[in-house]
Amino acid sequence: MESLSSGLDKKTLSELRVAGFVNTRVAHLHLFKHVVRLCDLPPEELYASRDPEKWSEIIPNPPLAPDLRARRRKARESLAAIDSCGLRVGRPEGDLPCRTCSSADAQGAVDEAFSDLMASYLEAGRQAFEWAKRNVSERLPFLLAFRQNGQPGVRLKFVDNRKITGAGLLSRHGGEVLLLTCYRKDPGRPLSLLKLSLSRERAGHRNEGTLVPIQGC
Amino acid sequence: MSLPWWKPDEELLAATLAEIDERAAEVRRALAFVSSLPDQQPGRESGIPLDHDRAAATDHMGDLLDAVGTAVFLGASDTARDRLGDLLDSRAACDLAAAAVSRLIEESLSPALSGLMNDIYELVAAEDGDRECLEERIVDALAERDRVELAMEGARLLCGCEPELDDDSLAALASFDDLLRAELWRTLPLGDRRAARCAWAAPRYRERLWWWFRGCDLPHTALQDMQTVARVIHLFPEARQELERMLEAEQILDSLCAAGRDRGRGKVISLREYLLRKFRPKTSSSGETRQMFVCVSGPRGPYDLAASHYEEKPLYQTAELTVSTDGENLIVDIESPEKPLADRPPVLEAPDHAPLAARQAPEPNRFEFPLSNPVFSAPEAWLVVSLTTSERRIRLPFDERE
Repeated sequence: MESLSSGLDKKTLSELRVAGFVNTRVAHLHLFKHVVRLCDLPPEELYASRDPEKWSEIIPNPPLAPDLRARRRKARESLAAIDSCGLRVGRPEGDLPCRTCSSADAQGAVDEAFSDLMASYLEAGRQAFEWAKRNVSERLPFLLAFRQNGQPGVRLKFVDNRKITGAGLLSRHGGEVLLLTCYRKDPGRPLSLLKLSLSRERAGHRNEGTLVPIQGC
Repeated sequence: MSLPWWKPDEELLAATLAEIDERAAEVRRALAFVSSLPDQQPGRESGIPLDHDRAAATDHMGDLLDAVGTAVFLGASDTARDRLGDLLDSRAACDLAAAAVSRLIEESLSPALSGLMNDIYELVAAEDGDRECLEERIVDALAERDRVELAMEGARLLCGCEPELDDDSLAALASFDDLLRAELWRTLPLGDRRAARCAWAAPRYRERLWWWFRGCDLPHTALQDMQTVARVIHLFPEARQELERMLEAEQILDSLCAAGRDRGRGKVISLREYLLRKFRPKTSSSGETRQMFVCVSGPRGPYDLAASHYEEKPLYQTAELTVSTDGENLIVDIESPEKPLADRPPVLEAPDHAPLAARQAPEPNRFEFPLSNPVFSAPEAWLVVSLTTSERRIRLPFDERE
């Protein structure tokens, strides 16, 4: 699994599963930025009532309120009860507490309070990866694998027909993908343009010799 | 000659052209729909739709420009122009193109800025896990700048001139670029990911993606190396003069490049830099890497340049010979059944330098020129290879066309 010297074969690929985010801090950062839209955004987006990522198309209510203001209000109510969390009410707007959070207490309490929402978010990432695996081919690069800076680890990037984009690290033990990011970019944009973007990225890695070929595609 | 001609990635080119066809058809439909509307706003002669219709048409045009810009950067401008057909002469299409670029800047690029700068600041000191996450976020944010550049290039082809962006869009783009340019060095830990992000484009377009291209040949450890340099100067202040000499050498190279551009001859770089750029670090099957130092000469004396070395990279190939580099030497292999002329090793001839004869390598019919020789500071040279049947004169840099 680690060397993948001749590429990633279809069987190995089919057995890969998204295990979760690479760590709890990264998971919370992405949940509260992309889904709840409560932090790590420009000021105009922190107060906007329009959700550009439209996660309510993917995650049902509950756990995700379709109205963005109701979604934020509900999240703030839950966070208010977690004293050690930097996102609780009273923190300055635009603060980026998840990035530097090292409080195991806060992370545990947030995990518990947002377990349903986090599970749905992760499930969406898992489904996107599964779709990309099933549909990847030379002509349809919905998934690409590459190395960076000569490091042994393989990175994966994928997009599905619901415009969920994800990136992850292949675990060294094999079989698991640890998410580095998961978001929806321009859900109204044609899928073929996201495919074109991934095609550019794949061609660049191919020319640089950093592409990990997916055998049989 | 089979190398080093550059060819666009076939799958990417095919996907790009298919996308142009599809998006151009949508734009034509949108423009036709708008021109059929009876209640055009007074004073608007171009027939651009308003509000909802305008937004939809602008989206279609933005998508089309993305594909057209990709085609241009792949060196397929003529093909893209053929596919656009009647849209090329349309004033309405040109106005819509400018609106699409402005919208992209306003809705995609500007919102990405604050997060991007936060991520860039944190990258250097980030720990494992967080660092890879930051890298992905930075790459995604900079991809928005790609979209704007591709759309602008697409608009240039469509309109035949610079797109007429409104002042707010121009200011937002300039602001983004100024802030990014000042902090771009902090993205060096992305290493060869930056090179890969522009390597899909034809060589002459890569510099246009400057946020990826600038310094993309530097190792991902460059900022850590900077700390080493700081410690060296702290412990050995006498070494500062050597550092300043190196900086001066880099500036001379830059001014040579600028002079070359001014003369309209394209970018001028030393043969050494040209060859080292061609040479990319490779990963061994075990994933292990080893670093070595290549001693090279600057314009005024020798200095050490860090490079990664794993295998040879072929640069030029014919039936009779192969020219390659391993990062330390320029290597000439005479291919069987050809043989080198006895006592006539290959020679490198450069203006203002004495001819340099290659040394015989341990392997049969192999000759090497050390890149540390001052002749490689010249911007161009002729490689003369005397074979038993003929003499070959090969110009360096090699002829690279799209």
